[in-house]
Amino acid sequence: MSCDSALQAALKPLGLPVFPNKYSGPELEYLVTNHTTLGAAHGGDLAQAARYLVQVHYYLPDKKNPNEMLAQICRALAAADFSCPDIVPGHSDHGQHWAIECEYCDGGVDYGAC
Amino acid sequence: MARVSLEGFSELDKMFAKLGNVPWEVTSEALDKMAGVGEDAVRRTGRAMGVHDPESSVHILDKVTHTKPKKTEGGGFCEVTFSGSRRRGNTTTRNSEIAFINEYGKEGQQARPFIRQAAEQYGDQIADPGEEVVGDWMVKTFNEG
Repeated sequence: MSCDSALQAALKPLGLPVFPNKYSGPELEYLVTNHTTLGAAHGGDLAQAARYLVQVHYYLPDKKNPNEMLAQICRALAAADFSCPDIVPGHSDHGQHWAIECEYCDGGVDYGAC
Repeated sequence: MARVSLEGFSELDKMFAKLGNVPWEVTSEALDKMAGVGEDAVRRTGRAMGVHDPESSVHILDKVTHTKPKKTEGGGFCEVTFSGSRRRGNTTTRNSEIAFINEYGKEGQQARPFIRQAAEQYGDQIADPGEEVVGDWMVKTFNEG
């Protein structure tokens, strides 16, 4: 399963809208996902696997308590074979912004020689 | 009867004992050099990922720097960080804040996790000068007996 599909499958059941890369619509509470892909397990001049550095961004209004949803997001990611997440606090112009960072790995990538 | 023996463990034992007491000057030099490579890695990755501040002509990546090594109980650390601040209209914004928004994004702005990617992708190169400094010290110390 690709990293994007795995993220969607893990996070959609939490009931929040999930958007890849960025969002600028009217929702007040939502998730945005992005990932960097690194080649891994190199052999024969090829990356035999891909390692994804994943960020899940949880945006919500200032007055809402984020803890329960943060725990649910972490549990959902861990259950879907993502690594144990780190949580980084932040703030946006419209409220809270929490970044949840973890990794994902899958094989069978074909970058060509790299 | 065959006899199997191993020798040299006392020297190895002494070496491990010395390794536990690497002088701060050596640790400090290793950290400083590693942080220098880390700085370059952050700049390189940031440029590749298009990190910038659209409201200023001063490039955010020119403000990457590292702190002096600080001693802790078990060793020490250096921080690769962003120095200074800039005027944007009537407000002053810290460069580290602009770097944070680039790293994690905001509503309508995609995240560019250049600091995390630099640490992951250039981890070995960042560790190299540290290994070299400590390795040189080990050889010198071992030769002195």
